[in-house]
Amino acid sequence: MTGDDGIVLECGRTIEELSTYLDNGRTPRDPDIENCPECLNALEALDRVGQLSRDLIADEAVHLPALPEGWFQGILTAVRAEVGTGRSLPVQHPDPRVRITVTEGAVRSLLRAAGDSIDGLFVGRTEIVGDADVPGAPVQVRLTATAAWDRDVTELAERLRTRVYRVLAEHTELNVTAVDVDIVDVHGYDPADTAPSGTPGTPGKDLS
Amino acid sequence: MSTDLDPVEPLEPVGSATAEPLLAAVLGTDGVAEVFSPHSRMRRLPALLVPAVGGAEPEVAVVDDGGHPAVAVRIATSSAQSTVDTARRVADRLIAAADDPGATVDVEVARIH
Repeated sequence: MTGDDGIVLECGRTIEELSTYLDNGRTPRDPDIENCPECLNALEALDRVGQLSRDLIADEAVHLPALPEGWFQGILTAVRAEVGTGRSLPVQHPDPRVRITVTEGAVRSLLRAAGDSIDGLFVGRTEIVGDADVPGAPVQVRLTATAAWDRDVTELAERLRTRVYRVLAEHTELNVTAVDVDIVDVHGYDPADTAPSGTPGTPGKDLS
Repeated sequence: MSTDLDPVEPLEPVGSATAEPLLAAVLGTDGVAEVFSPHSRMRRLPALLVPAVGGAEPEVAVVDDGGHPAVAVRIATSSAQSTVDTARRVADRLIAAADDPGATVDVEVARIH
């Protein structure tokens, strides 16, 4: 996880600092990082990317061709772009003395975690489009993802869409009018799996 | 003295004696996973700003806003429960614990896991 694109969290830390901290096994423990929600959201996403990287590299070593250049970099760029606090998404309360908000960063991190938990799928970019900080305003959610080569892309996309609707209904009051899922890549392509009647894709092929 | 790095007029901290029972109320709320300092995002700003937020940072910030407590808290919620419901429970507890009809409460959910 190298290369600094200059993204700085509101707490002042960079993604590079957090990557280094993660690479060092989160030791020595930095209480400021461990008590900063933006840092924790970023660490969680970086850790999942790292785990996927290790899994696929191990798989590659056995029988798969090399991953397309820039595959991980693309995911890391997406993670970097969305780790900030973002907008404040309102939650209504009957008492006018109360103000409740959920940070956009928390919601996007939740969407990423929900998507990554689907076997065979890995979330790339997440985006909440619309006036999400206005109560009741219609918003669209847009996600990109990569799918495992041997999985049904349509089924994975539908599972992701359903899960996103569910978690947003449970954890926010967003008026979600659409969830658009774009499967933009495949991973784990194995030429040996090519069936005679099938037409294999290409690693890194853009399916959008 | 006013400087370019002094963007807000800080309210008077009420003190940890008031914040502690509020923190206990938040931590005891079902669905709350963690409580963060409301000022954690300021930690790495220049040291001269630190006194403006009261030096030592309580996890529940209580300031005097025109004679009434203004309570602010940043929390993480458990994804096993509805974040909306959890946040409302926290707000209800804080309003009740503040015991002041003029009190205001600000709950920010900064992480869901």
